[in-house]
Amino acid sequence: MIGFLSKRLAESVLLMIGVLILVFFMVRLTGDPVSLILPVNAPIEQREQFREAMGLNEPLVVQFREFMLGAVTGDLGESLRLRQPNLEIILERLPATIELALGALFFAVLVSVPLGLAGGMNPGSWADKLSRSVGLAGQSIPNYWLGMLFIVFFAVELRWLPSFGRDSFTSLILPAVALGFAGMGQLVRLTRSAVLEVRSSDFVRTARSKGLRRSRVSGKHVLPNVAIPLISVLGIQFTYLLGGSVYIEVVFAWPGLGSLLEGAVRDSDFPLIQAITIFISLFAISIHLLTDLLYGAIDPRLRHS
Amino acid sequence: MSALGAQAAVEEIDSGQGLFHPKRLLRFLLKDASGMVGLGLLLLVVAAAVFAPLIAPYGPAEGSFSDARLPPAWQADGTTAHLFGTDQLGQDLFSRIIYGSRVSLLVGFLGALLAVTIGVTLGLVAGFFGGWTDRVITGFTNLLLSIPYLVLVIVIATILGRSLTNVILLFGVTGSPVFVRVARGEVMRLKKLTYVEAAVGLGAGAGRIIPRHILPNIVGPLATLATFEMSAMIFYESGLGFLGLSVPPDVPSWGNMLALGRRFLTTHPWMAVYPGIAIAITTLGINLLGDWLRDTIDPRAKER
Repeated sequence: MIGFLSKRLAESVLLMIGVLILVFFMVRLTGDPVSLILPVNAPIEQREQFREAMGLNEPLVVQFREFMLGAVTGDLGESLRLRQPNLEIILERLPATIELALGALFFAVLVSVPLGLAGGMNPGSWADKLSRSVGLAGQSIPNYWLGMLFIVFFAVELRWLPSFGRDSFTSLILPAVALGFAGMGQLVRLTRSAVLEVRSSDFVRTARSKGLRRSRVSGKHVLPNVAIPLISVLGIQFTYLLGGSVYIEVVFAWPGLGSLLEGAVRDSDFPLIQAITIFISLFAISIHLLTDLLYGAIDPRLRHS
Repeated sequence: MSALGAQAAVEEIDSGQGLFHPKRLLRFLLKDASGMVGLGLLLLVVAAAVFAPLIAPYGPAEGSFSDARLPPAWQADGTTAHLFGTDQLGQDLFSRIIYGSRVSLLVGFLGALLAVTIGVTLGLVAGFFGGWTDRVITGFTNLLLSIPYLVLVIVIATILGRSLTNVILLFGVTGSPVFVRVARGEVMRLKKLTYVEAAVGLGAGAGRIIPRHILPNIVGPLATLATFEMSAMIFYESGLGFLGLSVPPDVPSWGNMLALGRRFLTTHPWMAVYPGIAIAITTLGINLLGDWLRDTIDPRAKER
């Protein structure tokens, strides 16, 4: 276990360092970051002044050392527009994004697990057809468009739910459903195929043949075995939703990391863009590490693979 | 295995009577209703893109302010002259949607093609040679995959700037890691099989083994993956357009139309609704086709 733990830990640390290096060079590879940040018609003096203030006149090695030292000590630079430490801004926005991602995940699981279970247990039934259609719809309908439809229908026409902001619990519903829709499609497919695989195994046949009711077979014998692959996918889904919520956050003016990133892009606030990219990536790597460790604890076979 | 037996085995595989015989694929497709629907939808969109000037009643940038913000034909105040209504400049939405299919299909097709080319080449090399080559390629792949995809795409799009070439390059590069993974995994599996060993034993080098013995056997999973990647790229490109990060604003694309439609969402919802339907139809068609392809290549995945 200790070998597995230290190996995964070392891998994650290497990945994190890699992300830092990649982001550092990505912003500089395209040439002069100043031309990306300042308006096209900015005078030469202003450019020079800016370059000096940003430390861009230092040799690349020095810049890189400063950048890495800062990142390690939790200093992700300062936002150009907001004149505030980037990390502070990000941490302020993080809870909203986590709330939205959890809401989306909750919705996705709530719909997909029962549907996938019903569909998989009765192949060819209407439940199965429904689960296949839902899977396909989730995969094919773009979430930003779905979000806009929700606004037109539920907020403008029916006036049932708020269309923007994060004021009360009701403002979470529309963005969470729109964001969770794609994940729902994926989870339905996955649950269905996992159920199909488990239900044909010997122990399920035994359970059936000793006369257990169908509901008991599904609940006691099939579901626990389907849960294992599902949990690992949920970990991946969650990290996907953290980064993938940008479109939805913009549509619903949800004050999270996604709309922060969009705003930073619009303002060409490169230090902030850089900081958000690093933060979300490191966050995702950490969550992957955690789910892997959890998995290794549950299933010893995985420690050796 | 005798040298003669090995030679025979190699020749049998070389003869190319594999899974991907076009006739066989077509026969399967004709039997599958949802696959046919997928093909039909995709052909519809392709036809729209190819014959846009013939189908669209107006040019993509044609319009007058007197016709601005007309609702679709079936609503009150709508006119049959503008089937899906018009935008704030009086441009015909139906025509712009027809022309917009070009950007989506180009990005989806060329992006996926580029991603396959980069990814499969690197994956084959990594899987076949192993060692340091493998470590470097796998390391870089994992690195790209560890940055949440949408964030990566948005940041690169911001740095590159708005042009069709840049968008295709962007999706080609960021889409390649999954192909590296699949190609590498498949090569490592196939490398251990007897027929490849036999080819090695007969003195074949990497230049013969990879294209002759390995590549034909991994086309299946790669083709399936490529279709799903294509629909994902169309989805992400429109999303970037929606954020104002894809093709330049004067190019008619579904994403750009959505970006505009969002500004008028509460007052003129049709401006956002119809481009979205076009995106959904395209991705649905490609996904149906991809599902069919996967079920055909790996019948176990179907399990009705």
